[in-house]
Amino acid sequence: MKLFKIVGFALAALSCVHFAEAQQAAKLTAVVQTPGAKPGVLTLERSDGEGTFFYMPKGTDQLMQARASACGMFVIQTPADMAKALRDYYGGDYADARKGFAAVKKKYAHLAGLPGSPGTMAALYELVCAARMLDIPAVKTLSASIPGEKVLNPVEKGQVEAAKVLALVDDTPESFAAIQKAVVALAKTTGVRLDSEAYGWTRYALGRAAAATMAVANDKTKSANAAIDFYCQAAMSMHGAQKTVPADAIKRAMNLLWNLPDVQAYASKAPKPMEKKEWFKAPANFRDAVAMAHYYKTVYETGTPDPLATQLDAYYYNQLKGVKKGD
Amino acid sequence: MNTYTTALTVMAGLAMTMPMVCQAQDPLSSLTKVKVLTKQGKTDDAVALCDAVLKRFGGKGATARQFAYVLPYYAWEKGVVYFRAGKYEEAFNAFKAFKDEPKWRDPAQLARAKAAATGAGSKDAYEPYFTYALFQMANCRYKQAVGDPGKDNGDKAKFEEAIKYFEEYLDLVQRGKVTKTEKDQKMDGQICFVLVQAYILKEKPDFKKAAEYLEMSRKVKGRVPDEMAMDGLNTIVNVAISNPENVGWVYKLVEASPASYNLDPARAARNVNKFYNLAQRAYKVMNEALRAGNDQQAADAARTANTLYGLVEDGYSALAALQAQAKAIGKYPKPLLDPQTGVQMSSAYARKWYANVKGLEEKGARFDGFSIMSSATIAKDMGSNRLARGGFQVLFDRYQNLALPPKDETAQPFPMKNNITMQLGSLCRMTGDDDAALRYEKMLEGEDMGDQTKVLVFQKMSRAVSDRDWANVVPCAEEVLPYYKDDKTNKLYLTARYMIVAAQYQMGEYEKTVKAARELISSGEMKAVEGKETLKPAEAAKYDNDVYLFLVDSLSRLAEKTKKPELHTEAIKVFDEYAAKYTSPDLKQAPQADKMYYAAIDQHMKRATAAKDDKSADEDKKIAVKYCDHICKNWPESNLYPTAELLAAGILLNNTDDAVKATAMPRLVRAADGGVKLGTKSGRSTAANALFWLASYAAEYPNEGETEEAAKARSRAYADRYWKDGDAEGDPFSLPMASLYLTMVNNKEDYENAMKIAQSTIAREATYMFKNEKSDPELEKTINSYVDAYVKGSQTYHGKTLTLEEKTAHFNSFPGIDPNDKYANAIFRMAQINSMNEELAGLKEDKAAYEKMENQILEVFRNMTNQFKPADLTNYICVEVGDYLVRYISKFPDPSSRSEELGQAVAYYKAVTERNKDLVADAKLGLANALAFYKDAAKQQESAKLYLEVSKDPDPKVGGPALYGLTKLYLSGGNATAAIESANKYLRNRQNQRQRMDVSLMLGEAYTKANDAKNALLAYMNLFNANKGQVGYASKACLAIMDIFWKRNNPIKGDRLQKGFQNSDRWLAWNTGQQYVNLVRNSGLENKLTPEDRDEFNKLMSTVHNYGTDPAVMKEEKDNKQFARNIQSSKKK
Repeated sequence: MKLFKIVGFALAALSCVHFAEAQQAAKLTAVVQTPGAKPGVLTLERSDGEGTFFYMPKGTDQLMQARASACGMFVIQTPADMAKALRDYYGGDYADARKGFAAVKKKYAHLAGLPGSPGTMAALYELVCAARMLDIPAVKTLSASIPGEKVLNPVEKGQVEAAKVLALVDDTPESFAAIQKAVVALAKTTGVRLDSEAYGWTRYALGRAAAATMAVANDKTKSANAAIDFYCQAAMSMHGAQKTVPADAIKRAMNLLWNLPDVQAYASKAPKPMEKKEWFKAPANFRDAVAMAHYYKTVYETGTPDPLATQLDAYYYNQLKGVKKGD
Repeated sequence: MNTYTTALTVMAGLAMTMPMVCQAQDPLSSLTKVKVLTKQGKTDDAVALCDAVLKRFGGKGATARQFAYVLPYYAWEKGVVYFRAGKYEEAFNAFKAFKDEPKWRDPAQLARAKAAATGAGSKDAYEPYFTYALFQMANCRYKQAVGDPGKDNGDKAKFEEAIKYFEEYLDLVQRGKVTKTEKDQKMDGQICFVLVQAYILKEKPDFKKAAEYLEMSRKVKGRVPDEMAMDGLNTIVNVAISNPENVGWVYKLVEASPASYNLDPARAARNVNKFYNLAQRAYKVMNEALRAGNDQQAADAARTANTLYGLVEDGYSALAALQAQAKAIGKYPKPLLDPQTGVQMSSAYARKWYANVKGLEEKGARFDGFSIMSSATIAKDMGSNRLARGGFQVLFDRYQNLALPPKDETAQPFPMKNNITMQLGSLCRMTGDDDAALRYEKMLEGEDMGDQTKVLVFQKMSRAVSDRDWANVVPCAEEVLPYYKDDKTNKLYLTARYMIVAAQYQMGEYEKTVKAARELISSGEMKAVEGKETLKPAEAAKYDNDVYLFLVDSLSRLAEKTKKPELHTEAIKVFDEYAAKYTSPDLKQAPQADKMYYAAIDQHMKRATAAKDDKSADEDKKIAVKYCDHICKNWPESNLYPTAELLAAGILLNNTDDAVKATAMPRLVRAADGGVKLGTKSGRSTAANALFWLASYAAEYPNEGETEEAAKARSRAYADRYWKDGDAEGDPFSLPMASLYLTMVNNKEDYENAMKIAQSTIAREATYMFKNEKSDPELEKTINSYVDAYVKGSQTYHGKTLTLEEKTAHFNSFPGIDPNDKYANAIFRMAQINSMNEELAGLKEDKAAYEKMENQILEVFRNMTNQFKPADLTNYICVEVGDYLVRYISKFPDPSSRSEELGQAVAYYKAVTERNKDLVADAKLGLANALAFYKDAAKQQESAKLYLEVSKDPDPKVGGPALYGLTKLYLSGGNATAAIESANKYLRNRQNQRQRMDVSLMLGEAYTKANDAKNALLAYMNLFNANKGQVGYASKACLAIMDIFWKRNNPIKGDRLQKGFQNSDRWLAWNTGQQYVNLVRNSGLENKLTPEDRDEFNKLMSTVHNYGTDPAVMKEEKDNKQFARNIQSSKKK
């Protein structure tokens, strides 16, 4: 149980270094230890996009420059508009966050390419927002240009590359080969250092592409099964960390299962809800479609109920009911 | 805030300005002493010092007045001392006393305190304490309510007061009614968050109010430190999960304030295991709720668990962010606050957590991987194997080094790779991807899975079972057994033993089934015992019952296969043992009892069929009926009930006593009703059988007092019901019932209805057979019945004699028959030919009409052979067509001249022999018959070879006719010796067969050709004496006998008055014939002769007449008669 550690007003925060507030627009404040100097607060004027920043020491009118990588300390203070966008982002309000990040990216474009640069980070987060909103055209545009991308850490770079894979989704049969090729290339460059959400995007993209191949496949069931498996990998990879993409993946997988041979025919004669006897005799694809619908409604659904998930959930039978541990 | 720190700072500043005289009493520096004493844990001393100062300077003297303005600091510090000592009640009272003390609010004193504070560099004196006291009072009550950390010793009633004071203080903060110093603290977020916890922790949790404050905590200016947010969540989960009904509030609270928990990767790094552990607790609630059938709670817990797993940060993201942060801060020693986000960064934090996460990652402890595994487990628990497979596929592809952390530092992490592979393989199997499953299973071969090995081995067996890969089940099950050699009550061990028996049975390895089942039964191991991993009574009973059933059925099958009826007796003994063991009719205790009784009925009936004497057969039948009664009495709801009634009825109908037969009728009614009640395909089939028998026998066995007409009407009613309750595509009784129904016609309406049903049934069954590549002689019979009814019914009910063209048109476009169905169409053609043949028989007297009809038949027939190639037709039709051709050819004086038809017949038969499936012996027989017509010696040799081969077939339908054909072939080829041999073989081994008389005639002919008149005479005499009622054959034999005698021509031997007298052979020849002619005439047989028999009899009479008019014979007969008269008269004298 955490409680206030202090009785008086001596909160820990008071012992911290305090930043001066940024007074000028389109400038950034940073705590910097330039080579040979003590840590101090600098106002950053601009950057060259490659890690060099320009600043004007207090009381002078001379513009100085230094490389961030050469500094003993280089921490850019988060500007208010970036902080607001971040609050929206972590609060799940991706639409507002995306607008905020777009504005920050533009506002601090001349300061991109520095470690922790709001212009660069806003571009990354704007891309993540677009991906979480499944705005594929925006993902395509945004992933193509991240100002100062070099300063991103390896996992963040992986996110950008995975978003480029997601951007290839166009629901054409041809997209499968292109996405598959891009996924193989991505695995070579990032390996396991791809976060689980970004990995989920690639699985989602493969799912969409595999589903698109059904239009031309001789064995449509095989294509559908491949798509279902990719969607399920996408949903599970994100392990609840993110809602929109997994929810969409599960709904698509459920829809494909529903359209597999014999599933609807079986549903037309199955009781609602099902009992144990019928449940275990039902075709596996039917049971999985129903279980997936139940999982979706239980774990992900918000707002307007999905009609197919609602329809399928009505058949649901809890197969663990009455099963004792160890059975 | 930079102008205000603490009371101590103020006091220290003041002390510097105090006159030395005052320092003796030191109301200023004593506060420092209080702090030191508090720090040393000397609470009482610290309080005593505060009290001493308050007392010493609390009076009205000048000194007291001089220092009155510092006393509020001591009054406040008393509260602080108590609070730090954990004496919250005393602290509460001290803070409250401070707040309520009016003299501290004296403006003059406050002004002095402020002035002093300003001098010491502070903007505020003690005025913030007036409002802040509320916060501290709330804090004290909260501490009292919560109790000591890790102990459940809080006084929850205190939460109400804590909430009251926190809310009062929050209200002041939000309305701006606090000092600037307090405002600058931005405490509102933290107060909101403490209120969240207070509302959840109080005696009656108010999650709604908690959610409101959580939402508020996100919106207010003051931020909640990460550590506080995390600990708050811990509180929420603890409380919510301690009462699982509230588990859903966790996700609602988190979703209400996601930004409190969705942290950037560097900050989230410290919480990964905490989030994961909380999620695991929620998962546990979900799993238990699912098992308890509490679906709503399971759903709430699932969403909570998923939400919490979602908060687990990716290890690599955290590492990358911490590394970047450490690099950015460098060696800067202090925490760095980012004011806009409120985030603190520090080099120490970044380095510490980087090392921590890195260390875990190197040991394989990746909580993001664990979260994926848990998410997949949730999906699987909910029934989605596809989602679970997706999760394990991700783990397999990306988390090869995942390992469970060791329980202590000396132990090694437990690698999860094999478990993940095993789970993935299993899920692939469950989702129907056997190829993938096999791939993963093979990866595990040879892997040491520790305790999991035996489970893995058992799962391998289970997969083989679910795949019905019985050949693999046995070795897999045998692999399981050694793991449980010391735990033979374990359910996995007993399941494996059971599977060995079941798999052998499924594979048809009945000898092995018998052996394994006997071993298992005699071991006595198959029983339920108390324990965690043992069989429950119902499970043990199920396995044991199954094993008995497999044993009985296997013995039965072996009895039939090995022709050892004594094995039926063994099966009956096993049943008796079972019946003695399971005496209760309760199917929960004896799950297969009804089936066992049914199996016993089967054994008794089979033993009855094989019985050598009627008595023992009757005994078995009686027991069978008794067991049928047992099933009907004890398990009227069993699926076997209607079948048991039907079986009993069948046995009773086979009884010779009509009274017994009649008792079958009510059982058939119950069988029909029971079958319909089942509502299943097999139930309908039972009903069909019962209704067919009822329709067939009801009129024969009327109810007591029932008229014949009423019984017939009832019979017809059963037939009507058949079409409603029994008829089904492919049912074996549909066609016979259609034929029977055609005979139950009373009027035109009945006729039309029966014809309509027959038409649709024929069409349906023909289509069914066509689609399923089946054949059934019943179709031909029914078509023949239909053709007959159609022709006769047109005459009777429509007064119309159908022309050949009309009939042809009707049969060629029979409704519902697929034109491509060669099988059904061929039967129709043959039915048409048969109908025409019937007409042909009636035209014998009209030679011209006869020849015309014969040509028409030939034409239809030729069309048929042209239209239906052997490759188009089933074996049955091929043989039928071939047989027709052979019969047709045989009518010609020189069959060998019919080379076209002979070639066709050979082609039809060869189509069947080449397919080498069914009716091969029939086809070979037909082929031999066809080849026998050729004059070509090679073809005749081939014919003989085929006859010889088929003659060895035990089936009388082909074996006898083959010997017959062979004899005929030898005879026509002049090989009398071989003919004698094959004929005798026939007569020895093929008793009571249709062609026995023909063969006897041929035997006589063969002996004759071999010049063995004696044996020839014997052969004919045997035939003649045994078959005098068969006038055609007897006439032929008689003629042959007469001929032999006539040709032998021995004269009269001896004197009529002496012993040893013998008439002449020629008289004997005549007399033999005459005696038989007299017999036929006098017995009335002559009036019943068929045209063919009449022809033979006429030949006989003609010969008798010829012989009788021979002078020598006439004289001898005259002498014989005279001698007889003399003897007669001498007897009278």
